[in-house]
Amino acid sequence: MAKEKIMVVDDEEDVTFLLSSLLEFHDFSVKIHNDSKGVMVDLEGGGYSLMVTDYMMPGLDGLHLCEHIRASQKTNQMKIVMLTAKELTPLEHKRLLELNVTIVKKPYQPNELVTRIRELMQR
Amino acid sequence: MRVSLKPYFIETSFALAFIGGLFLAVPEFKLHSYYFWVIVLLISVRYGLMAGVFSGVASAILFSILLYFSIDKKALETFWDLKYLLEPFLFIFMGGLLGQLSQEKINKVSDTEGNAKQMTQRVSTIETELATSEEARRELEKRIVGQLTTITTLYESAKKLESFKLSDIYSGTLDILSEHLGVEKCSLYSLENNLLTLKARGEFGKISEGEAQTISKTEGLIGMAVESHKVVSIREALGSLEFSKLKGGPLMAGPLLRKDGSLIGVIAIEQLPFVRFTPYTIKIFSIILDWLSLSIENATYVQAVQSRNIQDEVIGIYTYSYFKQRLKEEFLRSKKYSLPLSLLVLRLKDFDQVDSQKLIPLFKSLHLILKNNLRDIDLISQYESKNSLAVILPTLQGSELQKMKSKIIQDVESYAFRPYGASDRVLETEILEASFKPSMQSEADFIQGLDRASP
Repeated sequence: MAKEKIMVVDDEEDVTFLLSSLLEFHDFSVKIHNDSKGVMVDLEGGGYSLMVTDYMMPGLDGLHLCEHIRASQKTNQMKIVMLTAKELTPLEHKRLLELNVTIVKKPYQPNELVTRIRELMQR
Repeated sequence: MRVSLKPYFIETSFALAFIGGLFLAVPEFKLHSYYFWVIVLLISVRYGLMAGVFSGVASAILFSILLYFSIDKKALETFWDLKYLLEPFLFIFMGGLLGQLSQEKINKVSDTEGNAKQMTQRVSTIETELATSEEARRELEKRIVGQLTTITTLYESAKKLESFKLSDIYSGTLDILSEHLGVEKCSLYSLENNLLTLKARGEFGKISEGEAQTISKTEGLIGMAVESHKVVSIREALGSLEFSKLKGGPLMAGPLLRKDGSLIGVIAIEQLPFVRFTPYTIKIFSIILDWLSLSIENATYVQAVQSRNIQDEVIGIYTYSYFKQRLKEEFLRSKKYSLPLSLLVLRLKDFDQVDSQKLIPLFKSLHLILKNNLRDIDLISQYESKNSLAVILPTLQGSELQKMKSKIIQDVESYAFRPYGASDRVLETEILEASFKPSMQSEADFIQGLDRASP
């Protein structure tokens, strides 16, 4: 059975490695991006079921990245998980919900994140 | 002393005795000189000068005696006449003359026979040489055919010398000596603290690690090899050392030298088939020594570089050699200033069942999990066994340590890594700990404490 493809976007290399390792040990296929450059091109190339992204990143932040994804016909149906250590404003929270983004607050339990991802995949 | 009589003596005596017997026994027997001529002629022609003279003298004496008794007594006065003396004289003269002529022929025949004998001997020698050459040719052909298979086995053996592990290099060398030189017993010594320490021993194809045994580098055959910087065999050593000093020692020894000529060690061959004790074997042994010296020097250099390298670049943790160095430093600091110090070892259970392809991401992830829980002053490194990661925690002990340990366990478990091949089994780990006590004398005591704490 082909593995589900997930994209992980975070500017911290240790975090992306640990997250990708976690997902790979749970039988997902993972692609890492350490900044938002090239993410859209890669996503539109197809094949990804889900994206896990950090909120705070230099350049294009997580919120704007999600807006780009929803704006593209090729990716607007993609499931998105947003990891954030930042206390979101009500406006930000509302906007993310409008964009159909699952919010996971840091610190999170890795096994719980995997469970959430599996649930999202089955929807 | 037994004297062997010459044939001509026997034959002459017999013939003359026969004539004398006939003269005495048969009254009608008439004495004639030609009986004696027959004897003188035959004997001198057949046997040469000495026989001719002898038969002539003997015939002359007997003829004169018989003549004396056969002639009329009245005529005795005329016995001394020339006619009676001429024939005995002619017997002697003709015996000598014919004997001399015959002697020359006999000598020539004898020379020819001698030459023929020499030729036969030479032919025999040539035949032997030819047989030896033929055998050597067959042996050479066998060797040429053997060389082809030897190259294959030599290549296999050579691969062992490519290792950077000294024990592999040692056993590879003893294999080569056994397979290519037929060495039945040999020892490999390494120079340590100015003494040669046994590192490996090969006996009748069996290779064993050397037991702790040291020998002098200046005595006996080995001493000669070390001093001369070349292979020395017992044959050469006998010229300059007493037999008693060589008895029971090796048959051949050669030094292992660095490129700068300094001594690494020695190989001593203690048992070798006699037929292999040849200059060819010594030459090949020298080549093997050069080869081994280079391998040992390379391996030692690589080990030195590895020990200087403090970080595992792939996983991002410190090396075990750096761990040992830092643990020693931290232990001495704790001992000197009575500071707390702890050591944690995260050990993976059933390490042999872990999928080898998942090892690097697993260790890298564990490193990051540990790093997330530790302080900047803590040090994460490799440990003695490959299934473990070690953490040195300066100034930490007691409840703080326990809290940190619990957090690490919890975090590792929360990732629920599944590294055991295709199964869904989750990674199982254990954490061993050790804490500094003032009674500890060295970092070894500290690590022993860790082992005692293990479940």
